[in-house]
Amino acid sequence: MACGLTLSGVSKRFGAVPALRSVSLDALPGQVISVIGPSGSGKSTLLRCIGLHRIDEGQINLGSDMVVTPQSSEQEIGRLRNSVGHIFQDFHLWPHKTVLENLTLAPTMVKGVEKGAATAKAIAILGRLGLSSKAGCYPDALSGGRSSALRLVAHLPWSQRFC
Amino acid sequence: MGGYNWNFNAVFSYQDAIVGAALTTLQLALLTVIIGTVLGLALCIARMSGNKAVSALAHGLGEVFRNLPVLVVLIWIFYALPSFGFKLSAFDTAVVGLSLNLAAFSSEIFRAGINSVPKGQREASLALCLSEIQVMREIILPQAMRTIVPPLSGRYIETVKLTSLASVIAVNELLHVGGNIISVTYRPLEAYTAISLVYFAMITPLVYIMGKLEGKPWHAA
Repeated sequence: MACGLTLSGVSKRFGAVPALRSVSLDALPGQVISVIGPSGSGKSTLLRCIGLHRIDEGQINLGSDMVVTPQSSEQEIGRLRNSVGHIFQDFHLWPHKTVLENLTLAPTMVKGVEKGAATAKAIAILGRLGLSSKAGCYPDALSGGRSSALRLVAHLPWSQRFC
Repeated sequence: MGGYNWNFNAVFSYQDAIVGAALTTLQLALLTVIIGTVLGLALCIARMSGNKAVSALAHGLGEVFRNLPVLVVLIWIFYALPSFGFKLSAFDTAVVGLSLNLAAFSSEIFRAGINSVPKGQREASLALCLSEIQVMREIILPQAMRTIVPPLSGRYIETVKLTSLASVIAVNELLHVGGNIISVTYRPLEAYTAISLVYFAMITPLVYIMGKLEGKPWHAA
Protein backbone atom coordinates (compact mmCIF):
# COMPACT_ATOMS: atom_id res chain seq x y z
CA MET A 1 0.00 0.00 0.00
CA ALA A 2 2.37 2.63 -1.27
CA CYS A 3 0.29 5.75 -0.60
CA GLY A 4 -2.42 4.58 1.76
CA LEU A 5 -2.96 3.81 5.41
CA THR A 6 -2.45 0.24 6.56
CA LEU A 7 -3.16 -1.25 9.96
CA SER A 8 -1.73 -4.72 10.50
CA GLY A 9 -2.76 -6.80 13.52
CA VAL A 10 -3.28 -3.76 15.76
CA SER A 11 -4.20 -4.51 19.38
CA LYS A 12 -4.85 -2.13 22.23
CA ARG A 13 -5.56 -2.81 25.90
CA PHE A 14 -6.59 -0.50 28.73
CA GLY A 15 -5.15 -2.26 31.76
CA ALA A 16 -6.55 -5.77 31.65
CA VAL A 17 -9.39 -4.81 29.29
CA PRO A 18 -8.74 -5.55 25.61
CA ALA A 19 -10.19 -2.77 23.44
CA LEU A 20 -8.89 -3.96 20.05
CA ARG A 21 -7.78 -7.45 19.10
CA SER A 22 -5.59 -7.78 16.02
CA VAL A 23 -7.40 -5.33 13.74
CA SER A 24 -6.20 -4.98 10.16
CA LEU A 25 -7.34 -2.38 7.65
CA ASP A 26 -6.26 -0.95 4.31
CA ALA A 27 -7.35 2.56 3.31
CA LEU A 28 -6.55 4.00 -0.10
CA PRO A 29 -6.23 7.75 -0.75
CA GLY A 30 -9.69 9.20 -1.42
CA GLN A 31 -11.44 6.14 -0.13
CA VAL A 32 -14.30 6.54 2.35
CA ILE A 33 -14.60 3.77 4.93
CA SER A 34 -17.29 3.33 7.57
CA VAL A 35 -16.45 1.37 10.70
CA ILE A 36 -19.75 0.12 12.12
CA GLY A 37 -20.29 -1.64 15.42
CA PRO A 38 -22.16 -1.53 18.71
CA SER A 39 -21.35 1.00 21.40
CA GLY A 40 -18.15 0.12 23.24
CA SER A 41 -16.84 -2.14 20.48
CA GLY A 42 -13.69 -0.05 19.99
CA LYS A 43 -14.50 2.10 16.94
CA SER A 44 -13.20 5.30 18.54
CA THR A 45 -10.21 3.47 20.03
CA LEU A 46 -9.34 2.23 16.55
CA LEU A 47 -9.25 5.80 15.22
CA ARG A 48 -7.33 7.04 18.28
CA CYS A 49 -4.69 4.38 17.70
CA ILE A 50 -3.82 6.21 14.47
CA GLY A 51 -1.57 8.79 16.09
CA LEU A 52 -3.15 9.49 19.48
CA HIS A 53 -2.70 6.26 21.47
CA ARG A 54 0.31 3.98 21.62
CA ILE A 55 -0.66 0.56 20.26
CA ASP A 56 0.21 -2.62 22.18
CA GLU A 57 0.67 -4.92 19.18
CA GLY A 58 0.81 -4.68 15.41
CA GLN A 59 1.94 -1.98 13.02
CA ILE A 60 0.55 1.10 11.30
CA ASN A 61 1.92 2.30 7.96
CA LEU A 62 1.13 5.61 6.34
CA GLY A 63 2.39 5.74 2.80
CA SER A 64 5.80 4.25 2.32
CA ASP A 65 7.68 6.44 4.75
CA MET A 66 5.86 6.25 8.07
CA VAL A 67 5.73 3.21 10.34
CA VAL A 68 4.43 3.10 13.89
CA THR A 69 4.83 0.06 16.15
CA PRO A 70 4.46 -0.44 19.92
CA GLN A 71 8.16 0.41 20.21
CA SER A 72 7.93 3.69 18.29
CA SER A 73 9.14 6.86 19.97
CA GLU A 74 6.80 9.70 20.93
CA GLN A 75 8.29 11.67 18.02
CA GLU A 76 7.36 8.94 15.54
CA ILE A 77 3.81 8.73 16.92
CA GLY A 78 3.66 12.54 16.80
CA ARG A 79 4.71 12.48 13.13
CA LEU A 80 1.83 10.12 12.34
CA ARG A 81 -0.54 12.34 14.38
CA ASN A 82 0.66 15.34 12.42
CA SER A 83 -0.30 13.65 9.17
CA VAL A 84 -3.76 12.49 10.19
CA GLY A 85 -6.75 14.69 10.98
CA HIS A 86 -9.09 13.46 13.71
CA ILE A 87 -12.61 14.83 13.99
CA PHE A 88 -14.40 13.76 17.14
CA GLN A 89 -18.06 12.95 17.63
CA ASP A 90 -18.57 15.99 19.88
CA PHE A 91 -16.42 18.28 17.67
CA HIS A 92 -14.57 19.70 20.73
CA LEU A 93 -14.19 23.18 19.37
CA TRP A 94 -12.38 25.38 21.88
CA PRO A 95 -15.22 27.34 23.51
CA HIS A 96 -12.96 30.14 24.83
CA LYS A 97 -11.47 30.86 21.39
CA THR A 98 -13.26 32.64 18.58
CA VAL A 99 -14.20 30.82 15.40
CA LEU A 100 -11.18 32.41 13.70
CA GLU A 101 -8.85 31.43 16.54
CA ASN A 102 -10.15 27.86 16.39
CA LEU A 103 -8.82 27.74 12.83
CA THR A 104 -5.54 29.60 13.29
CA LEU A 105 -4.21 28.49 16.70
CA ALA A 106 -2.87 25.06 15.71
CA PRO A 107 -1.22 26.10 12.42
CA THR A 108 0.50 29.11 14.01
CA MET A 109 1.63 27.26 17.14
CA VAL A 110 2.41 23.85 15.70
CA LYS A 111 3.33 24.35 12.07
CA GLY A 112 4.85 27.80 12.49
CA VAL A 113 2.56 29.39 9.91
CA GLU A 114 2.83 33.18 10.07
CA LYS A 115 -0.24 34.63 11.83
CA GLY A 116 -1.24 36.89 8.94
CA ALA A 117 -1.08 34.04 6.44
CA ALA A 118 -3.02 31.72 8.75
CA THR A 119 -5.68 34.38 9.30
CA ALA A 120 -6.02 35.09 5.57
CA LYS A 121 -6.40 31.40 4.80
CA ALA A 122 -8.87 30.88 7.65
CA ILE A 123 -10.99 33.85 6.50
CA ALA A 124 -11.06 32.44 2.98
CA ILE A 125 -12.25 29.08 4.32
CA LEU A 126 -14.91 30.72 6.47
CA GLY A 127 -16.07 32.59 3.38
CA ARG A 128 -16.48 29.34 1.47
CA LEU A 129 -18.51 27.91 4.37
CA GLY A 130 -20.67 31.04 4.56
CA LEU A 131 -19.31 31.73 8.05
CA SER A 132 -17.47 35.00 7.40
CA SER A 133 -19.79 36.90 9.72
CA LYS A 134 -19.04 34.42 12.52
CA ALA A 135 -15.25 34.84 12.50
CA GLY A 136 -15.24 36.88 15.70
CA CYS A 137 -17.95 34.83 17.42
CA TYR A 138 -17.45 32.03 19.90
CA PRO A 139 -18.40 28.47 18.90
CA ASP A 140 -21.52 28.45 21.06
CA ALA A 141 -23.02 30.85 18.51
CA LEU A 142 -22.81 28.16 15.81
CA SER A 143 -25.33 25.46 14.98
CA GLY A 144 -24.33 21.81 15.31
CA GLY A 145 -23.85 21.45 11.57
CA ARG A 146 -21.63 24.52 11.32
CA SER A 147 -19.63 23.37 14.35
CA SER A 148 -18.89 20.04 12.68
CA ALA A 149 -17.95 21.82 9.45
CA LEU A 150 -15.62 24.10 11.38
CA ARG A 151 -13.87 21.24 13.18
CA LEU A 152 -13.48 19.46 9.84
CA VAL A 153 -11.90 22.45 8.14
CA ALA A 154 -9.67 23.05 11.15
CA HIS A 155 -7.79 19.97 9.94
CA LEU A 156 -8.03 20.20 6.20
CA PRO A 157 -6.03 23.26 5.19
CA TRP A 158 -2.80 22.39 6.95
CA SER A 159 -1.56 19.46 4.90
CA GLN A 160 -2.89 16.46 6.78
CA ARG A 161 -2.69 13.46 4.51
CA PHE A 162 -5.66 11.63 6.05
CA CYS A 163 -8.88 12.75 7.71
CA MET B 1 -23.41 54.57 74.81
CA GLY B 2 -24.15 51.73 77.21
CA GLY B 3 -22.37 53.57 79.98
CA TYR B 4 -18.99 53.17 78.29
CA ASN B 5 -17.09 56.32 77.50
CA TRP B 6 -15.59 55.79 74.04
CA ASN B 7 -12.37 57.68 73.51
CA PHE B 8 -10.31 57.05 70.37
CA ASN B 9 -7.75 59.80 71.03
CA ALA B 10 -5.34 57.52 72.89
CA VAL B 11 -5.53 54.89 70.14
CA PHE B 12 -5.15 57.43 67.33
CA SER B 13 -1.96 58.68 68.92
CA TYR B 14 -0.49 55.30 67.81
CA GLN B 15 -1.64 55.70 64.23
CA ASP B 16 1.91 55.32 62.89
CA ALA B 17 2.14 51.94 64.58
CA ILE B 18 -1.25 50.94 63.13
CA VAL B 19 -0.19 51.99 59.62
CA GLY B 20 3.08 50.04 60.02
CA ALA B 21 1.11 47.00 61.20
CA ALA B 22 -1.28 47.31 58.25
CA LEU B 23 1.70 47.34 55.87
CA THR B 24 3.17 44.27 57.59
CA THR B 25 -0.21 42.51 57.29
CA LEU B 26 -0.40 43.42 53.58
CA GLN B 27 3.18 42.23 53.00
CA LEU B 28 2.46 38.96 54.81
CA ALA B 29 -0.78 38.42 52.88
CA LEU B 30 0.79 39.25 49.52
CA LEU B 31 3.79 36.94 50.02
CA THR B 32 1.48 34.18 51.26
CA VAL B 33 -0.84 34.50 48.26
CA ILE B 34 2.06 34.44 45.77
CA ILE B 35 4.00 31.58 47.38
CA GLY B 36 0.86 29.62 48.30
CA THR B 37 -0.53 29.85 44.77
CA VAL B 38 2.74 28.78 43.11
CA LEU B 39 3.17 25.93 45.61
CA GLY B 40 -0.47 24.95 45.13
CA LEU B 41 -0.06 24.79 41.36
CA ALA B 42 3.11 22.71 41.79
CA LEU B 43 1.30 20.34 44.17
CA CYS B 44 -1.58 20.06 41.70
CA ILE B 45 0.75 19.24 38.80
CA ALA B 46 2.58 16.69 40.97
CA ARG B 47 -0.73 15.17 42.06
CA MET B 48 -1.94 14.87 38.46
CA SER B 49 1.36 13.55 37.12
CA GLY B 50 1.36 9.96 35.97
CA ASN B 51 4.06 9.10 38.52
CA LYS B 52 2.40 7.24 41.41
CA ALA B 53 5.10 8.06 43.99
CA VAL B 54 5.12 11.79 43.16
CA SER B 55 1.32 11.86 43.11
CA ALA B 56 1.08 10.08 46.49
CA LEU B 57 3.65 12.44 48.03
CA ALA B 58 1.78 15.53 46.77
CA HIS B 59 -1.51 14.07 47.97
CA GLY B 60 -0.05 13.33 51.41
CA LEU B 61 1.46 16.79 51.79
CA GLY B 62 -1.80 18.42 50.78
CA GLU B 63 -3.78 16.32 53.24
CA VAL B 64 -1.42 17.15 56.14
CA PHE B 65 -1.71 20.91 55.70
CA ARG B 66 -5.43 20.85 54.91
CA ASN B 67 -6.20 18.88 58.05
CA LEU B 68 -3.96 20.74 60.54
CA PRO B 69 -5.14 24.01 62.09
CA VAL B 70 -3.02 26.91 60.80
CA LEU B 71 -2.38 28.07 64.37
CA VAL B 72 -0.90 24.69 65.29
CA VAL B 73 1.30 24.75 62.17
CA LEU B 74 2.59 28.25 62.99
CA ILE B 75 3.39 27.31 66.60
CA TRP B 76 5.06 24.07 65.53
CA ILE B 77 7.22 25.76 62.89
CA PHE B 78 8.21 28.57 65.29
CA TYR B 79 8.90 26.51 68.40
CA ALA B 80 9.54 22.89 67.31
CA LEU B 81 11.40 23.32 64.03
CA PRO B 82 14.44 25.02 65.66
CA SER B 83 15.10 21.74 67.54
CA PHE B 84 15.80 20.20 64.08
CA GLY B 85 18.21 23.03 63.26
CA PHE B 86 15.78 25.22 61.25
CA LYS B 87 15.26 28.56 62.97
CA LEU B 88 12.96 30.96 61.17
CA SER B 89 12.04 34.51 62.15
CA ALA B 90 8.48 35.11 63.28
CA PHE B 91 7.60 36.78 59.96
CA ASP B 92 9.16 33.99 57.89
CA THR B 93 7.36 31.41 60.03
CA ALA B 94 4.06 33.12 59.30
CA VAL B 95 4.78 33.24 55.55
CA VAL B 96 5.74 29.55 55.47
CA GLY B 97 2.85 28.34 57.64
CA LEU B 98 0.17 30.36 55.88
CA SER B 99 1.60 29.53 52.42
CA LEU B 100 1.52 25.80 53.16
CA ASN B 101 -2.10 26.09 54.23
CA LEU B 102 -3.06 28.07 51.12
CA ALA B 103 -1.08 25.70 48.88
CA ALA B 104 -2.90 22.66 50.28
CA PHE B 105 -6.31 24.17 49.56
CA SER B 106 -5.45 25.87 46.27
CA SER B 107 -3.96 22.65 44.83
CA GLU B 108 -7.37 21.00 45.22
CA ILE B 109 -9.06 24.03 43.67
CA PHE B 110 -6.68 23.87 40.66
CA ARG B 111 -7.21 20.12 40.35
CA ALA B 112 -10.98 20.45 40.43
CA GLY B 113 -10.80 23.23 37.83
CA ILE B 114 -8.59 21.26 35.46
CA ASN B 115 -10.75 18.15 35.87
CA SER B 116 -13.84 20.21 35.07
CA VAL B 117 -12.63 20.73 31.47
CA PRO B 118 -13.99 17.91 29.28
CA LYS B 119 -11.32 15.35 28.46
CA GLY B 120 -12.22 15.66 24.78
CA GLN B 121 -10.76 19.18 24.75
CA ARG B 122 -7.31 17.80 25.55
CA GLU B 123 -7.70 14.96 23.08
CA ALA B 124 -8.88 17.24 20.26
CA SER B 125 -5.97 19.59 20.97
CA LEU B 126 -3.44 16.77 20.90
CA ALA B 127 -5.01 15.60 17.63
CA LEU B 128 -4.10 19.01 16.22
CA CYS B 129 -0.54 18.30 17.40
CA LEU B 130 -0.35 20.87 20.18
CA SER B 131 2.21 19.85 22.81
CA GLU B 132 1.14 18.97 26.36
CA ILE B 133 2.41 22.36 27.59
CA GLN B 134 0.56 24.23 24.82
CA VAL B 135 -2.61 22.27 25.57
CA MET B 136 -2.39 23.17 29.27
CA ARG B 137 -1.53 26.85 28.66
CA GLU B 138 -3.82 27.60 25.71
CA ILE B 139 -6.75 25.23 26.12
CA ILE B 140 -7.14 23.69 29.58
CA LEU B 141 -6.14 26.45 32.03
CA PRO B 142 -8.15 29.26 30.35
CA GLN B 143 -11.26 27.09 30.52
CA ALA B 144 -10.47 25.87 34.03
CA MET B 145 -10.21 29.48 35.28
CA ARG B 146 -13.98 29.77 35.20
CA THR B 147 -14.15 27.06 37.86
CA ILE B 148 -10.96 28.04 39.69
CA VAL B 149 -11.45 31.78 40.27
CA PRO B 150 -14.51 31.84 42.60
CA PRO B 151 -13.22 29.38 45.25
CA LEU B 152 -9.64 30.65 44.92
CA SER B 153 -10.72 34.24 45.52
CA GLY B 154 -12.50 33.01 48.66
CA ARG B 155 -9.27 31.39 49.85
CA TYR B 156 -7.31 34.60 49.19
CA ILE B 157 -9.74 36.62 51.29
CA GLU B 158 -9.60 33.98 54.01
CA THR B 159 -5.79 34.08 53.87
CA VAL B 160 -5.72 37.83 54.55
CA LYS B 161 -7.88 37.22 57.62
CA LEU B 162 -5.71 34.30 58.75
CA THR B 163 -2.69 36.62 58.94
CA SER B 164 -4.09 37.68 62.33
CA LEU B 165 -2.97 34.29 63.66
CA ALA B 166 0.63 35.45 63.24
CA SER B 167 0.05 37.61 66.33
CA VAL B 168 0.62 34.54 68.53
CA ILE B 169 4.25 34.36 67.39
CA ALA B 170 4.68 38.12 67.81
CA VAL B 171 4.67 39.20 64.18
CA ASN B 172 3.98 42.93 64.22
CA GLU B 173 0.80 42.65 62.20
CA LEU B 174 -2.47 44.40 63.04
CA LEU B 175 -3.79 42.20 65.84
CA HIS B 176 -0.43 42.03 67.62
CA VAL B 177 0.10 45.79 67.40
CA GLY B 178 -3.49 46.27 68.56
CA GLY B 179 -2.65 44.20 71.66
CA ASN B 180 0.43 46.34 72.29
CA ILE B 181 -1.65 49.53 72.01
CA ILE B 182 -4.19 48.12 74.49
CA SER B 183 -1.43 47.35 76.97
CA VAL B 184 -0.37 51.01 77.08
CA THR B 185 -3.71 52.79 76.55
CA TYR B 186 -6.05 50.44 78.43
CA ARG B 187 -8.54 51.06 75.63
CA PRO B 188 -9.32 47.56 74.23
CA LEU B 189 -12.68 48.40 72.68
CA GLU B 190 -11.29 51.38 70.78
CA ALA B 191 -8.16 49.50 69.71
CA TYR B 192 -10.08 46.46 68.44
CA THR B 193 -12.59 48.75 66.72
CA ALA B 194 -9.76 50.64 65.01
CA ILE B 195 -7.99 47.52 63.75
CA SER B 196 -11.34 46.02 62.66
CA LEU B 197 -11.87 49.07 60.49
CA VAL B 198 -8.37 48.71 59.04
CA TYR B 199 -9.01 45.02 58.22
CA PHE B 200 -12.31 46.00 56.64
CA ALA B 201 -10.64 48.75 54.59
CA MET B 202 -7.99 46.28 53.39
CA ILE B 203 -10.28 43.35 52.58
CA THR B 204 -13.20 45.20 50.97
CA PRO B 205 -11.21 46.27 47.85
CA LEU B 206 -9.89 42.71 47.57
CA VAL B 207 -13.45 41.35 47.64
CA TYR B 208 -14.39 43.90 44.96
CA ILE B 209 -11.42 42.97 42.74
CA MET B 210 -12.12 39.25 43.14
CA GLY B 211 -15.77 39.85 42.33
CA LYS B 212 -14.69 41.57 39.10
CA LEU B 213 -12.39 38.65 38.24
CA GLU B 214 -15.22 36.18 38.86
CA GLY B 215 -17.38 38.14 36.45
CA LYS B 216 -14.63 38.18 33.80
CA PRO B 217 -15.60 36.15 30.72
CA TRP B 218 -12.82 33.54 31.07
CA HIS B 219 -14.97 31.37 28.91
CA ALA B 220 -17.33 32.68 26.31
CA ALA B 221 -19.96 29.96 26.67
